[in-house]
Amino acid sequence: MVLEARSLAAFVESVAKAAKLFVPEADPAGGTIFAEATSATAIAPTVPNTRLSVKSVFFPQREVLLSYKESAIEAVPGVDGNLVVFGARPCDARAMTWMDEVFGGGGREDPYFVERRRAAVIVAMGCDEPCASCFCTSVGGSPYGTEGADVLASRMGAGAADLLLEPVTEKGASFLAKHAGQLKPAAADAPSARQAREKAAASRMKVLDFSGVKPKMDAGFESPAWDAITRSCLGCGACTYVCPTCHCFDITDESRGDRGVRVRTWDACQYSLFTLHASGHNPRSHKRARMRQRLMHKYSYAPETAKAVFCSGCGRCVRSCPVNLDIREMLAALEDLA
Amino acid sequence: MSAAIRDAIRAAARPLLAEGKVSLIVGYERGSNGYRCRPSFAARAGDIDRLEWDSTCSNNLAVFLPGLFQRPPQKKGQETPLPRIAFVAKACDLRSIVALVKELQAPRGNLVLIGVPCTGMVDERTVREAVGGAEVASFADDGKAVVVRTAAGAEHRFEREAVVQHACRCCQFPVPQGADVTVEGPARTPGDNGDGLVKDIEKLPPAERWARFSAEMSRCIRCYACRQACPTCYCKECFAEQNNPAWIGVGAEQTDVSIFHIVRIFHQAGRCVECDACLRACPMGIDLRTWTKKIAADVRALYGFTPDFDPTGKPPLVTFKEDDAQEFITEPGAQGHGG
Repeated sequence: MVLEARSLAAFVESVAKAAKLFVPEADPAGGTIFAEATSATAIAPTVPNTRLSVKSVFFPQREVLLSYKESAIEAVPGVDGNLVVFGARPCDARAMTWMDEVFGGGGREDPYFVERRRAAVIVAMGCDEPCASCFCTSVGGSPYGTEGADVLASRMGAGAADLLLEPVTEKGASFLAKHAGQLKPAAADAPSARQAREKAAASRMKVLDFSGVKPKMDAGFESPAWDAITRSCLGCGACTYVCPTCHCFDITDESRGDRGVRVRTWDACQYSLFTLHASGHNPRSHKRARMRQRLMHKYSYAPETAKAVFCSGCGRCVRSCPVNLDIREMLAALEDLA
Repeated sequence: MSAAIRDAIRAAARPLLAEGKVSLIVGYERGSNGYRCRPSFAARAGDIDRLEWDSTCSNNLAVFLPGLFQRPPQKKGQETPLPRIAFVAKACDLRSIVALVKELQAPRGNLVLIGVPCTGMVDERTVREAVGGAEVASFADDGKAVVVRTAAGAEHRFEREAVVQHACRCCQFPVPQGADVTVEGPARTPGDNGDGLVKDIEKLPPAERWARFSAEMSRCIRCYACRQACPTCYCKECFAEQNNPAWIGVGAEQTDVSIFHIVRIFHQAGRCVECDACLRACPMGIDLRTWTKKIAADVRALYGFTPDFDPTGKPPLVTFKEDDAQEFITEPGAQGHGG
């Protein structure tokens, strides 16, 4: 199906009427962020990618899990599962498959996350302008990848505003059918033209080989290299909060008198408090150990437990780091370990 | 010009390591994206050749000082000696280092400061937005124009002053004073300290000022990048993370982030050198500068103090005089202070 530029506003209105719609919006400070769309929302081009990933839509930074009085639960808030994300980059959509594994796989089920994901539709936008900080093709992704997406949107030619919408999942197909009133049928050769652009975008990206990094990390757990690569780390959590796969959280009770709410908030392995024990002992007392955890979780532990590297190469950590710690360079340094 | 300064920095640094006068040199090296330098740590002779200098050396290196001088609790009579460390320092880095020396984070005698006069650093965000994420092949600054070429061949040319960081354009102290070695090089003419920004918010009625502050902070994700990038934010345990008692909630609710920023900014009174490290570090691009500038302006107006190059004397937060200004407490709102 084709979404013509002149039908975009009507399409947004139609979708926003039927669901909670999130699109990339221009941020006052420059760049873009995912925001809930209204009928007047302009969808901003995401070059570079949105400041925060799609994860913040499904795994909000602060979420009330329940409210309580004394020791009894008073209420458990409902979750709005009727969500549509339009214009996520394929790297973000792909990362959601791992978030699904974390919050819904292996017999565990996080009801809040799973409920939000159940009916949600992600329309991924094929990426014609991968950034120098992007490396999706080095971690098994592609600028037009469809993993985690329900619909793949792509521009009908360089700089074109008309979009080709192709269903990826059944959920995606019924989403397109539901809003067919705003869409036109696509020409038969549209998918092959899309494939050509996909190839062109991917060819602009350097492919790095990180396949050797896991055994080197595993064997070099105590290597002084960890010290060397994290020397300039400031210990903030910017890399983790902008990451589409970092999913650690904290649960706190916010009480007033005998009532309160139990909230879940993002937390990060880069903070020294993250692993501080009540005894005062901290098993990750140094930033070398904290960064090691971050890199090994993605590139060593996740491949064991979830059969995937938990990094989609979106490059946000590269762009957001105040001291330009570049994960690609850190991994390369670890691969060079003797 | 920057190549000559780079060579002078290396020439100053090399004997310091070779003669064992310091064990580490903190400076800058080329970054991974082509248009910025980043912090660098030279501990061996070979590392010296990595040291770089150009107009992208924005990071305030003083942020590393407290950590480098931190030791585990020491047994009396068996103390491990403190290290001796050299810092490449622009005037802003140097003023932060002086503030830290005053707060006993490192003895001045254990520091070798390589001062570098500064013509102002280029604003990374402006360049980044111009290149739109494209790979950068070269970055050149001839003192008048900044030219960035992308790998695809596109050229972005900027008039230099148009892309120099706001903090640098209004910097009152472009020339470092009191360094152990000062590299020769050009410096910019001192600026007006950006007081216009402060006047703009002082003019606002408190409700509007609060609305502007709140709107800005509502975008905070509380990643603490501002705090971690700030040389004078080095508390071992930040009030924002204490949980017994918990002063504020742990999330990014408006009240919690507002209080976090207010307390952080207040604790910068008389210590902030207005280098904008917080602003540069913020992944959300929040204006953190206006509010720290306001505190700095208040300390200047009320206590006649500016964190400068003088390592003697006590900073205003740890002194009390009977005639200290107190109208901002007793008559809030007067003269634009407090409120």
